[in-house]
Amino acid sequence: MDSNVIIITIVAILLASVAFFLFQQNTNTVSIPGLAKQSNKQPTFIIAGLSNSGKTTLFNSLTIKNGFKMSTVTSQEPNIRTNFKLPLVGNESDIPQLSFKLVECPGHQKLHNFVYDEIKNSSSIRGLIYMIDSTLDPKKMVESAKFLYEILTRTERKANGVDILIACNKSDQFSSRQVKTIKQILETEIDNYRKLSVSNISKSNEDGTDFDDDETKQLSVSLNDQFNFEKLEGHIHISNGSVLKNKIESWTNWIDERVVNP
Amino acid sequence: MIDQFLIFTLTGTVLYKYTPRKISDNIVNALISNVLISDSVKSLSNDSSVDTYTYNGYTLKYLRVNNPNFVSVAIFPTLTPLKYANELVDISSTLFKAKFGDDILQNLEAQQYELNDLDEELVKFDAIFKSKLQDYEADLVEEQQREKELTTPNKRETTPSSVSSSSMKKSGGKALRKWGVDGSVEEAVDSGALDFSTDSSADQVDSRPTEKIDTDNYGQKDQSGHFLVKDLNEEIEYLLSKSKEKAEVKEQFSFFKRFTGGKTITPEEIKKILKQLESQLIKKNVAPEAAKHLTSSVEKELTGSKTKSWTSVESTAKEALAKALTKILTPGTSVNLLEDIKSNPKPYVISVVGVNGVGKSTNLSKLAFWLLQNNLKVLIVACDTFRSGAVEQLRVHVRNLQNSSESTKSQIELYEGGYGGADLVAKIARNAIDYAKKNEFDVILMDTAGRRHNDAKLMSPLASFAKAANPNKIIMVGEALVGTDSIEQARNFNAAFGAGRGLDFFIISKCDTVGGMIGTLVNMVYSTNIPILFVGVGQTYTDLRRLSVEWAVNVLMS
Ligand SMILES: Nc1nc2c(ncn2[C@@H]2O[C@H](COP(=O)(O)OP(=O)(O)OP(=O)(O)O)[C@@H](O)[C@H]2O)c(=O)[nH]1
Ligand SMILES: Nc1nc2c(ncn2[C@@H]2O[C@H](COP(=O)(O)OP(=O)(O)O)[C@@H](O)[C@H]2O)c(=O)[nH]1
Ligand SMILES: [Mg+2]
Ligand SMILES: [Mg+2]
Repeated sequence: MDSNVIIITIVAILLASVAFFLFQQNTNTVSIPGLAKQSNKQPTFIIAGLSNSGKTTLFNSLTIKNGFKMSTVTSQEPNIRTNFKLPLVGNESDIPQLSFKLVECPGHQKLHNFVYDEIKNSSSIRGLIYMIDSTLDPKKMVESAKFLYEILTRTERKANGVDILIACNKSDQFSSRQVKTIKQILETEIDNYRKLSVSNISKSNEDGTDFDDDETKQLSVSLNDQFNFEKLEGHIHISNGSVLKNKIESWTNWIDERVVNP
Repeated sequence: MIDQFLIFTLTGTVLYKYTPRKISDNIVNALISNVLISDSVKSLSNDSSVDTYTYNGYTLKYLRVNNPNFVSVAIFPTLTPLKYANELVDISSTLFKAKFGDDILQNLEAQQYELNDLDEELVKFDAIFKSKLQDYEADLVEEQQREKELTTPNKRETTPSSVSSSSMKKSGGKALRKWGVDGSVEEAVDSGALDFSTDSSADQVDSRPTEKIDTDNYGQKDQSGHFLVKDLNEEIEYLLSKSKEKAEVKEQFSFFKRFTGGKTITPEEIKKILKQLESQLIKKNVAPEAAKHLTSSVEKELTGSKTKSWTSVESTAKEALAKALTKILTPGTSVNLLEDIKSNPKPYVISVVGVNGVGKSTNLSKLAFWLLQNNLKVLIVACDTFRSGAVEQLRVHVRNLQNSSESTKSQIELYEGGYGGADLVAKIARNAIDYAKKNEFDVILMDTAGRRHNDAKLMSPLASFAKAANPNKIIMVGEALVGTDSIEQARNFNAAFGAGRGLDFFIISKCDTVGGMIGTLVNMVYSTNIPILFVGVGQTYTDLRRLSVEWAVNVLMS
């Protein structure tokens, strides 16, 4: 009779596993046969930007006490927390907090698809923090504008777009540029780049994997008009700070605002 | 001398850092960017052993460890090799893994907003690491002395004083072991105190006095309140035995974990699944060499790691392979030809090269069509002076393009120079550039003769052509149909233009004819790390596409 109990237990566990397994399969959107891509319904914040802009340092600073002191190297994989407690003010007070997803994607050119996939697979993006190293020379700043453009072509496809914080990091450095200057460079370069994109050859997307229509490419702003951030669906905010000096209040405030009034 | 030792996570956080000297972050970031992400320097070892990378005068010895996933790296100047680097990286990784176990990363994740006692543990690891480092330094000094004694036997007999002086250094070397955690190694070597204080021990050369001196000093360090070397050694022994033990522990309930995840992936399991995936890739026309490389990189990544919850080993492997394919096919720099043309002085010279019949002339015409649409004035140059009919074929294309719309009539011309040898090609190229300058053409497209990539006699003129034409971009056209041979093709063409010049892009033609067997895309990029600019998908002027990596990976994985 002991063995009976064991058998019953095993069967019960087995059924439960199978049920869970099937349930899990159902919630996935399968884009590659046999390769389940998790669709994400949790309210999410994404951190993106070029390599060396300070994303991982910001991530550590947001998720670990004194995390801004931890040194970093180039990231190869995203940093993910699914139990990121917000609003941040709750960390030091007794304001109730809820669980959010926080994803920080690597900036290396070959790994940009992590950001694109995250944007595509998340149905509730509360905000995207786009980090810029404000000490960059103009040429690298152009690179950053292109990446932001690629991100915008994806976020602007969502209903109401996605709110974006352009976080100009490393303001502690003597060579850092002013927010106003960076905004102007970004808008000019995005304007140039969307024109180039529209005249570029279209993509090999027979199965509709990549978005590639002209409307998307020009960011829904007529090519005859000068592009600026105010014309976008999502609300764009730009401000500076320094993760290394722990001066990130304007960014944490931005996050908290989006938690309180989504 | 070691300049830096680092242990960091794949997500980019440094877990442990030892930096006796100031060294730029760029060195380790170059390793991550060029090797670990871009795979542009193919790793030499197939198994999980320490690898080498050199960059900017530094040598980096690195090891990727799974479960927890981290990378250890020792950095030192290439000019002063660190003999024990491999062992140091190896043993430090083992010790780190044993000390923090599977869950250091989980702890980092779970203990949101609190680092808990991680700091304290890291201080202990720091002591362990430094004690190991000093062991190696001491052994090295000892070994060097022994070598010196062996190689200078004559000196030893004639001048006994030199023997004694070397023996003093020997004990000095041993003394390093006793430095505990408080000083860096160089300091120990520089301190000359021991050399004088052991003056009287000259006659102890052969009686091995070192052990006695060692124990004396252990006591001293003990009193000064530093970590006990003896304790450290015990801890090291314990950790090493623990790490051996762990490998043998059998996984429980592995049957369920196959479905529910959280299962440690064994080498046998992953090998079996990857074998299947490898043959699936080969069926898609991926060359066996490239398929093997991709699957073995996945194997390295996954062996010993844990599956995510609710994920089977198989889908974990598939996901990792899709990731590897995405990484290889995504260009390492952003590619926009139109932008490059607009930001360079006129005329912008593009030449296409490749094997016979792959579609050079056809795709060159497609490029011309697209450039015309963007209001650029295009000169097509017939540098295929070899195959009869080649010039005539281009003439037809140019006439078609001229008639394609009202505005393009005067915007495109053919520059031809008849048929002949390699000298003629270079001459045509130079004259065409002069002509284009005079007549304000924006872009020059140079067609070249097709050639077998393994025929040295036909390949060698490419170097003089590249010199004469000095193109802004050299594009190789390869056909999707070719399969395994594409690896050699790409390599040989890439190497044909002499030192300091290589291919800039690929155009892969005839992707419409292979029914999903697009492995050639992977082969060409795998063998050269050169990005794919466009893919050809038919025989009309508009059948040119930018590569959607997502699409390609989906096709390859299905
Ligand atoms: N001066 C200064 N340096 C900073 C600041 N924030 C980050 N850094 C430094 O910038 C470098 C890169 O920071 P990371 O956080 O690793 O950059 P990342 O954006 O994650 O880069 P990838 O992982 O390559 O995409 C590190 O050396 C940081 O110490 C800042 O506010 N001021
Ligand atoms: N289906 C298909 N055929 C192509 C493509 N590109 C070229 N071709 C055909 O391949 C043949 C050889 O092309 P050609 O340009 O003369 O090759 P070349 O010798 O390299 O210059 C021609 O019949 C082209 O029409 C393509 O993308 N798809
Ligand atoms: Mg990072
Ligand atoms: Mg031809």
